[in-house]
Amino acid sequence: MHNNAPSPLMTRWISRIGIAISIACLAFVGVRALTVPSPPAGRPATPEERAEIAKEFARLEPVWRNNAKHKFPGDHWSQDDDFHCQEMIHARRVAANRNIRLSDVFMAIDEGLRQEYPGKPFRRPSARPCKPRAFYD
Amino acid sequence: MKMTDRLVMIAGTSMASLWMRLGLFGLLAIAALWVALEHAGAMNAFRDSQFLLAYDRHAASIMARFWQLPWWDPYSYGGIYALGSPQAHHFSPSVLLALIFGPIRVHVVFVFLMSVLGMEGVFRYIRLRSEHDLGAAVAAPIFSLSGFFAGAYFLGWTQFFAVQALPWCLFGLNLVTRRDARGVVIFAVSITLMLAMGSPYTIVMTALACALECLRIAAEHATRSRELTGMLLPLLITALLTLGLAAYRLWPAIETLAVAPRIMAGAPANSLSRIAKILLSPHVVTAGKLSMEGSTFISIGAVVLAAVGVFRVRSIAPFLLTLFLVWMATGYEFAIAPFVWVRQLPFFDTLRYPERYLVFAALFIAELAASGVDRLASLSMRGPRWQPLLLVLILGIAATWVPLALNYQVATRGMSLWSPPERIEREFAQARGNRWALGYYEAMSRGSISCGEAYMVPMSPDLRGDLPAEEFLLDASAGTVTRRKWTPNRIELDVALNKDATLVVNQNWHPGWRSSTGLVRLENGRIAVDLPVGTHQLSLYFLPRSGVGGIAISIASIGVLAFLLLRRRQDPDLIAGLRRTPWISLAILAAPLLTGLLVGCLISEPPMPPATPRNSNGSELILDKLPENVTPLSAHFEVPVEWIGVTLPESAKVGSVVDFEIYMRRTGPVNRNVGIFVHILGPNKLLMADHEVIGNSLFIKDIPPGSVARDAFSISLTNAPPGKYRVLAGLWRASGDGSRVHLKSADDNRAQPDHRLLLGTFTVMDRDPESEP
Repeated sequence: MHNNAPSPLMTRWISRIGIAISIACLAFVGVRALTVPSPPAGRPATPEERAEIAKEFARLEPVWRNNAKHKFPGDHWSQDDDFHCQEMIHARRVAANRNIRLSDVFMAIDEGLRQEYPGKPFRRPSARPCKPRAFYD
Repeated sequence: MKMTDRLVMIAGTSMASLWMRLGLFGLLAIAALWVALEHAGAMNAFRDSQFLLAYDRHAASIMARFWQLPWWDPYSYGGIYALGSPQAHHFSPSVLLALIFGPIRVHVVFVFLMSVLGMEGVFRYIRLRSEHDLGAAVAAPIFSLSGFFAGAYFLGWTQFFAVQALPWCLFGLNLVTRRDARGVVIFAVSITLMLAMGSPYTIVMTALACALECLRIAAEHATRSRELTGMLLPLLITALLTLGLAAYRLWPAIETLAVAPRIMAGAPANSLSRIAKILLSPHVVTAGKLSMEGSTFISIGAVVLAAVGVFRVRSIAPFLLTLFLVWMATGYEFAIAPFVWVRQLPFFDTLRYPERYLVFAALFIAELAASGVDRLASLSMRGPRWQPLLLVLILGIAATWVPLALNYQVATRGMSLWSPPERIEREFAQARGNRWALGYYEAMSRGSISCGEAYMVPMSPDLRGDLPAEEFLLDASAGTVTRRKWTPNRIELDVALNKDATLVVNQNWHPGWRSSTGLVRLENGRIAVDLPVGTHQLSLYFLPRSGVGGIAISIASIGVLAFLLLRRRQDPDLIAGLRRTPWISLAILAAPLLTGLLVGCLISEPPMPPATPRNSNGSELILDKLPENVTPLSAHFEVPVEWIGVTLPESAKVGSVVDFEIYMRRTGPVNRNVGIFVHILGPNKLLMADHEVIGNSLFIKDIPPGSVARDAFSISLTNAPPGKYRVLAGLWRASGDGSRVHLKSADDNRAQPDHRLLLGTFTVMDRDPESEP
């Protein structure tokens, strides 16, 4: 294709320019990744708010469990998984509505379960062992 | 020299320079990841990314906060053996980067590096057989920036970036067949990187790609049988050293998968038009969901360049390989289907989506496109009449690179993003957790019991997320337990006992857990230690034999690979170099194996108990005999399966869930695709409960001979009208043509038309208006 061989000087300069571009790319990615701001997290929830949230999730748990029972009859892990999906969706909604951190909502659920130890009959303080479905499509 | 010639010459010379190539690939990767870089500080909210990306977070946290290697991950699912969990990547290079960039921001940096690495791998692989550098460099992004990786970024499937090592594997393989020691190193490191990144299923697919590459090499040397036989010993050495180098991950992973298998059913199929959309339509994100179209987007430009390059003798092999891989990607679409054939092989039965073979096809399409670029560049230099082809070439390159980058940006712009969690320092405890938001729990000093992994993680059903203390006595009156120090791999406790007692830790048991006093055992899946009366300063620590042994073998293998590279300086031929000092070479090559045997002998460990197959409702699946309360029946099918019992409800209420059980035996070999169909016919209502796998645990073909299998399943009677329901069932070819397996005989007039078996009837009654919501 190119019968005229490049001069050694040109080869050297190409290599130098390549080094400069490579380092610039690496530096750009590193600096950009480190400095770009995170999305706002919301404010921390107060203990009172967390207690309210815990009660709300405790109240909703039987409803979600019942939904999951009918969606995945006889499949305990899938029921649990579906329950957790509903819980996560509601947690996002609560965090957004109250403008609080999502992690505080999960912390409130955790605190609520611990306060109920050794547990209430309509709640499960645990999750079923992992048993993924054999087919998802 | 003419301007066009000069341009082509400069471009070709530039691409011959490693640094210039890396610079170009870096720029292209930045263009593709431009939107992803804007979101570097946000957490991917997609459900899979929550637990997959959390592995980096957990590993980095264990290393930075506890100064331990992340052998044991207590934050995932009640505790997992990190090296043994197939998709975990606690020992991946991404973890080291996470220590610098943090667990969220590391992802985009790692993907950038893997993309550049992948493009350089593609370049080197294509360059093995092409005449010029330009085409190989231009074509490299067709594979490495394809929609496959854009989709993987969107979904948080970080382990799929291990596929960027595929071209390096094939490049290394080619060097091996040229008896070059560098090939052994490149191949072994590439495979080990794939495993380290938590992608064992990629390795299974890579094994197929390597087999195809071997066939290609064999075809290229078909007339030189002596050269072909000379490749066998280097290939054998490569295979052994690859196993050795990857042993730190391979040994634990095989050990885990032996007791916690991944079951994958279904008959996935892709029509040719769907495959065209997957390759040529860009990604579309709708309501946070990524389209299947574009999942291996390669751009129209790539196809045009490949079409220009295909009419050359050297393009025959990549063209045939592309056709074969597209055929593989059709899955069960056609009667003759290689995807179905390879599913008969060990490990290949765990692969889910045939369209994933298209990313392998993208590599060979890139090779064809490189040929097209070189051809256009050569033609454009023939004379003034041909110079417009240079413009065609530039347009072709633009029509390849720009859509690839834009497709990546579309996928990453559509991602659902959350703010990262705030760290809350406190005593570690297991929480019920939530696998859909698992990325939040480690930062709260909590583990998530809730699990969404792709295999049956060995987990205790007794784990709790509400305990006042994570380490406690089974008999609370026997004394007290005080936590002295907690770290992921070591727990130190003060135990005071007024009588013999069992200490329990609220984490999953693994045989690698050891105790300074007493023996660690499992208590229904949890860690337990039986202790005598008295006071004990107890240390529980995790030291798995497979991890220590695997790392020792891997280190020994690094030594052997270094030896091969040193020997290459004296003799470029791998085998000739080894034959210089045959006994020393043999001893060095055997070092990894001897190391493994030594560690295996020095560190004792009880075996992992075999998994007990269970139905989805938790009941045992394999029984010695038919239980007494079961209605016996006798039905034989044209395949060696006998149904021997059934349990049905007599009645049920509208809105309830009803349970059924079918008991069966297997008396001979059965195809994998034989499943169970269940039709429940009521007044103007048909309910179906078809399933291919019993209890999501066992194919009918795997029922142990002589045992009874209990198939438990349930249906919901929501919206089911009251009345009498008939339960009809049988066997069918669930994957394949969907035909029913013929019923040979059945008792009590149970045989029905269309090879259905009447299992019984039950009555659905109106719900009590006061009993249920």
